[in-house]
Amino acid sequence: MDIGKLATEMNRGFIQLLMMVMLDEPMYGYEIVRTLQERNFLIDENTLYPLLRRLEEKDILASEWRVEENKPRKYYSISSEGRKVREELLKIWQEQDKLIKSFVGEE
Amino acid sequence: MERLKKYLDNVRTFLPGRQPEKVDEILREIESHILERAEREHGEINDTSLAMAIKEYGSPEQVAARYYEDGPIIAPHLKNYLFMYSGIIFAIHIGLHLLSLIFGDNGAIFKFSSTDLLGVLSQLPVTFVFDFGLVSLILYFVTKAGATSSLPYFTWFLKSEKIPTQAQRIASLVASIIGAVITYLGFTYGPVYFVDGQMNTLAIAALDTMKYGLFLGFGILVISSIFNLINVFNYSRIVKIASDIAGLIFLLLVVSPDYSGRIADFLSISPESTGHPLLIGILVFIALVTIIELVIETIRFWASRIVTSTNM
Repeated sequence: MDIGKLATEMNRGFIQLLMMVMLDEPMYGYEIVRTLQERNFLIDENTLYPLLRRLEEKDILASEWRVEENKPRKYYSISSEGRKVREELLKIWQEQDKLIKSFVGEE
Repeated sequence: MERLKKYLDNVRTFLPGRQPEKVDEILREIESHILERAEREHGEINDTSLAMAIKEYGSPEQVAARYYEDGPIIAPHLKNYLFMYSGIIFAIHIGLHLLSLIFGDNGAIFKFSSTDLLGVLSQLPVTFVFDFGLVSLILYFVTKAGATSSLPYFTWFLKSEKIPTQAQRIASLVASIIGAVITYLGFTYGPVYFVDGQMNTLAIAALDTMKYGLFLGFGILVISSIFNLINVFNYSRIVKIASDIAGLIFLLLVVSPDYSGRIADFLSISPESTGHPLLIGILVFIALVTIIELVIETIRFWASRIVTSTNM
């Protein structure tokens, strides 16, 4: 069975939470991709960038343009609103993780 | 850089419906990502590295599509309405088309040049696409408005549904066969009476018109018999709808100038007798009753399907 679609659905929420966790310090798009690659997590740029944009539109992330090495870069970081959301989501994630482990017997 | 500008212009064409400043911002982001990629992955920013970075980044439509994950065009809970309303409007539309055909006037929402049977049949796919599109558009706006569904659901169409018993179905079949036989004898031999074992023809002023009327009755009863026979084995609404459609097609064919002349020849009656006002009046009445039944049955068919699928 092709788990691609299921994995995509699962990843959607996960990547949002991942961004909230990662972006305590400002990072630009390509930097995020490379950082994740170094940790063996491959992410499609065309998935990540629109997602960053949506999180920004929801005021979860804040952004600013900087010009570095003659190139414009958009830096994203978590907003104060985003921190509150992150706290709630992490709680949910931890409870879900606990629940799953209680069934698969890893606890 | 010319290639990058062209690429961004292409992406812009796939980003409609957004505020211009937001589109500019998205394009600026994409430009920044591509420049970054060209330099990091291919050493420096030049035409070759940009071309490669653009290719790796994806086609303009794919890239633009990722910015449009705002949810479905029509909310899932409204999809039942899409099919139900399309079915209802289509059924009413068919009725209007048929009325326009009978009265030789335009009863459709949009004008169509053909008022013959073939013309109307060729209009039906266009009609369906129009109705489906119209309902889709309305539900799209309902979805965008975030409205919860309090749209009429037409379940009352289901309340009066009564499935006849097997005995009733057989009785209908026998009645339609007897009717067909009587009308056949009627238009073949004309009205007769017997005196002392001798068959005499009844003198009727409009005998030709009567024969033509009996022939039409025979055709309708034969069609009814066929569908009544199917109903005995497998009763369904579809059979009723098919029966109504077949009856209407038969009526429209036999009254059309192309065929009425040939039928007059076949019955050995004068062609003028096929246009008797009383006969036309009766035909219009039968056609109207059949059209109304067809529309109601079609609506019931859709309504019952939707309710069944919703309850599953």
